[in-house]
Amino acid sequence: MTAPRGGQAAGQLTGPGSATLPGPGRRAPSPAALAARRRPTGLARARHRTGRILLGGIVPVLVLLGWQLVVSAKLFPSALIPAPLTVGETGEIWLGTRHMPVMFYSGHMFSDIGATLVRVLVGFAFASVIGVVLGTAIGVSRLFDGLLSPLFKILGPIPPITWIPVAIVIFGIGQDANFALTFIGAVFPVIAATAVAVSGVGRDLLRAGRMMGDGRAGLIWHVVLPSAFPGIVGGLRLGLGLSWMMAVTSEMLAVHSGLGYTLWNAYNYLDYPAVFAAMIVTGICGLLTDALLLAATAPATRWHAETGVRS
Amino acid sequence: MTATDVAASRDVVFSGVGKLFRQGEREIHALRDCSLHIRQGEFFSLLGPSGTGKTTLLNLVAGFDRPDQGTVTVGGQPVRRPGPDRAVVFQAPTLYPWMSALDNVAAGLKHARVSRRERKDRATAQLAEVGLTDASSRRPYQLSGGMQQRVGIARALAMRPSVLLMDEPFAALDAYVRQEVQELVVSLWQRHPVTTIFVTHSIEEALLLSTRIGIMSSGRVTHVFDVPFGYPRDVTGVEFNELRREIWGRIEAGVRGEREAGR
Repeated sequence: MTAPRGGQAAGQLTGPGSATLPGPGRRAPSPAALAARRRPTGLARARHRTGRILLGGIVPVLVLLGWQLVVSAKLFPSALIPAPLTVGETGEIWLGTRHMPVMFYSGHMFSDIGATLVRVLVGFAFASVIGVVLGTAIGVSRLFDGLLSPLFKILGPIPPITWIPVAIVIFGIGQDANFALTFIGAVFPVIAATAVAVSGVGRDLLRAGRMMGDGRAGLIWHVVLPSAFPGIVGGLRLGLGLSWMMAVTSEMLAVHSGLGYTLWNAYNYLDYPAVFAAMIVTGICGLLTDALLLAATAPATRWHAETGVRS
Repeated sequence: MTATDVAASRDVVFSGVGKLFRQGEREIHALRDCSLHIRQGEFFSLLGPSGTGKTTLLNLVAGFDRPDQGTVTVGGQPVRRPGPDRAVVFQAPTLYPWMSALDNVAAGLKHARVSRRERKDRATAQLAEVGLTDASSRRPYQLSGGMQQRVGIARALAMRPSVLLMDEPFAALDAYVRQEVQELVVSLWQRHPVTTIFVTHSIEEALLLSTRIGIMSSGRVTHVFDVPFGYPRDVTGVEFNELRREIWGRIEAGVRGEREAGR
């Protein structure tokens, strides 16, 4: 990279009349060199990613410092607001890397995460498929819009948490109720985002598809869904977050396993460091599943990200 | 003309076509009693100011709209719906932004009964023909406007349509790029003389490209001019400019007539 560029600069300095410079530096950059300049190498991309992670860490670290400061200043009784380090130690007990004191959650972290994660993933998977299908139907068809939108506008504002009693009455206490609740949490934002994204697909793009011979189903598959996909992913991300919320909340109220159960139990034992630890672990799990969702969908949304407003 | 001639010819025929658009209370007659016969293999330009029905006429051939009166036929068959036998190059390039240039061209072949392999080969060859071999893996947003429109042309031609419909495809390009793609279109048409209907509001563009020019005024084709010059054409030529003046006169008369009718 550096050699040809330096050569060019030298060539400009000496001017076009000078024939003393050796060849390669004075030639226009080869197509390969141009391609290299456009496409970052693996190393550059890794460096870029590390930079992003460091940037993203700044504010959380500041929040932790602020939290420690509040505790050290003794603004609140230390029994109620534990210090970050205490929370960290509790996290180690939960994880199983610290063995004293023995608590009811000692070494249970991964089984707690696993129990909650299964609930999130099953409910979210159903919500994704059903939400995208219904949202697409509403987005492409006036009939379905008229038929279904009023119902979803009524159901939408009902807090998902209020479905907990309903789910328990219908399914009893157990996995089915959990799946139903994480499903309910995720499905409305997925429907809404899909319907908006689908109905926003441009007329000309649809005409191009029809011109190439697509019928209604072909248009939806070849034009509408790829074009609406970045918007659909936005809905999926919201839905995934709500699935986590529903999973943890229902575990706090009605289920005897998972992150929410441990959190609520810890609260009942007045073990506030464990409450904080459970909250933080839930947040980190949400972050990781969101990152996975983003990574999985990135190839199909890159075109949109690269034409967007973000500088 | 014998029966077989009629069956074989892929002429585009409008007879007594009317098209009405409603905008709230207002009714707009985009076309009224419009008749036109475009012969197979010719390069026909529809020329006229905005709002005279050029694009409406094109959309009827494409099958995007249906006529309210009269018929539009291609090769004797009435147009019912859009289809790959009538390829369109849109005013905005209208490529699929999530696909590479090559895949965009190959997308037009999805409904041709050819293997994936052949689709790719044909798309590669067609991109080469419009001079975009190097850009084949790039996405539309990584291409300039002129390059995008060339991909659009390649996509349309790869479909091997019987009619090529172009709706002011170069209106948004700067003069230099426009001249480049105009020359490209002429040379492509000379190599594969597909029936082309080209909508434009530039007299010069119509004169540079077409074998015949139809002047549109208030929803009708009012005059058809033969353009008897060979290619490439010289915009400074005497005959070229005589024809240009004559066409300009007709268009002006049409605009004046419309204004008086409106009053």
